Amino acid sequence: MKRNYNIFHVLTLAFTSIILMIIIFSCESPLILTGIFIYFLVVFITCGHSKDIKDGFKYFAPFFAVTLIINMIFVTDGTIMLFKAFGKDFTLESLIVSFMLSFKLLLIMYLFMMMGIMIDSDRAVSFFSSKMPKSTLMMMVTFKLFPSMKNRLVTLKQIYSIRGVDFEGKGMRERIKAFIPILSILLESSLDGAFDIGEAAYVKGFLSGKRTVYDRQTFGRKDYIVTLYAFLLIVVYLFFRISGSLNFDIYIGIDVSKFINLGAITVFIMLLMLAALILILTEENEDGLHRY
Amino acid sequence: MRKLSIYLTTFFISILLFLTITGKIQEYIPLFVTIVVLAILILSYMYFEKSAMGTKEIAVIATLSAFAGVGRAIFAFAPGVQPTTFIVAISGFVFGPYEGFLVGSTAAFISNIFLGQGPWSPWQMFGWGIVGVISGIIGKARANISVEKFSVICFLYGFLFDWIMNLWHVLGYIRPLTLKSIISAYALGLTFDVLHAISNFLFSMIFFERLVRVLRRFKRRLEITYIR
Repeated sequence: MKRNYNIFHVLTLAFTSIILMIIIFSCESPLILTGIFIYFLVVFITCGHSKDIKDGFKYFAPFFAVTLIINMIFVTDGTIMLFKAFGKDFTLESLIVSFMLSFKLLLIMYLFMMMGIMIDSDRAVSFFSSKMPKSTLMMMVTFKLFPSMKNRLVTLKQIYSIRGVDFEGKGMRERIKAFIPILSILLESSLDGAFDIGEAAYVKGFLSGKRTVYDRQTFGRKDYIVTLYAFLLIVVYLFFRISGSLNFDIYIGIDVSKFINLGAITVFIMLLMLAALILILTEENEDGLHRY
Repeated sequence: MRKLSIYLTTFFISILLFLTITGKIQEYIPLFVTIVVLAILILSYMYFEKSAMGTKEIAVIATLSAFAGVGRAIFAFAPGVQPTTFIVAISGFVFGPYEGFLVGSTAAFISNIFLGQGPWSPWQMFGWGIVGVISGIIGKARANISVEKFSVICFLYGFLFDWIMNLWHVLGYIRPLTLKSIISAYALGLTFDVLHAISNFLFSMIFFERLVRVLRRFKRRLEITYIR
């Protein structure tokens, strides 16, 4: 059965994501990064977004190539030589670092994708419109205009193509020039519409009075549990990080105790427990209601 | 709150500059830089909440943001060629630095909802925001700038924006950070930077006068008709 992670409060999800982001950016331990990867896999698979795992790899591929090339070619540190080419040593250390940095990049991409899945946009708008009404209004209007403007542009392009404008001109200058009438019309008519949108928003209570909320989100028991657990996770992580047991520099030397030690294992288990915790909290009763 | 936002932003940037110069905490720089970029964006929107802007001004900024965002989609035929940077620049130039920042950052955020959010999103928001701010300052200092001069500035924006965008990748995913590896990483993207810069220049040369007229007319309408 698909899990619904939207039942969590926006702040809970934002806080947990920030904690994970801090760990990903500041951590070099492969075990901990694997723990975060498992957490993401659990979220993607349980909420029916397995396809996103593949999509993440697609986005990631070009960045992976660049990271690998730069780290492998331009960084000469390391002692274990893999092969020699073009008069340059390619070391095992630089290969491991390249893979690890690329892996971190993949995790950051998954983090953003996971936020998109877990945070319900309507609930986020509802929450932020009471806290940041101007920013929310601006985002809402832009969000509404973007697809309609795009469709209008396609229509205008078709009309001007029929009228003889060549959008596939030879040079960049010719192609850009072909867009003169389209962009001018689109900008003028859109700005005209903006005044109507502004007035309509004012009449509907935006920035002119208190707006009612249809489905107000409350910070419930499950949110306290996850938030406190995420806080505990970062405290434990920082403790081991400051104590030095998570310091990992491959260029100093490859040592198993640097990969697997008490600090790395503890944080790894805590990450698995975080995944288990959100699974338990999003479990549904027989009547379709959530436990908390 | 408005003053606090300005002071905190200045403080964060100063700390960042100091850390970059000292270079002693290289492993923490990616995390710190990302947090600073996010903090600056949040503080800017907090500042916006305390501004005197009404629904009409907000709707105009939103429209320009959507327009700039749409520009990214229609010029997808050539990598690096898109009018977003120019539209953000001209918006800032006409409406002011803060409005320029909002148009740039919102355009990046919204267009990425459709094109794909990622670790690049805060950096794009920041990069285009900076373009809007600089153009706004230029607009306040020299409102009657020539097309050629503005086009040269837009040309330079191509490099500025791309170099900001390269930062998140270089700082986060290249180790160890040496001058050689940084230059190499930037050199890999130079072709796209040049294409972006040239397209900005062309967009400005072709569209500047026409769009400035339109935007100034709407700015006047805002000033005359809006009742707070």
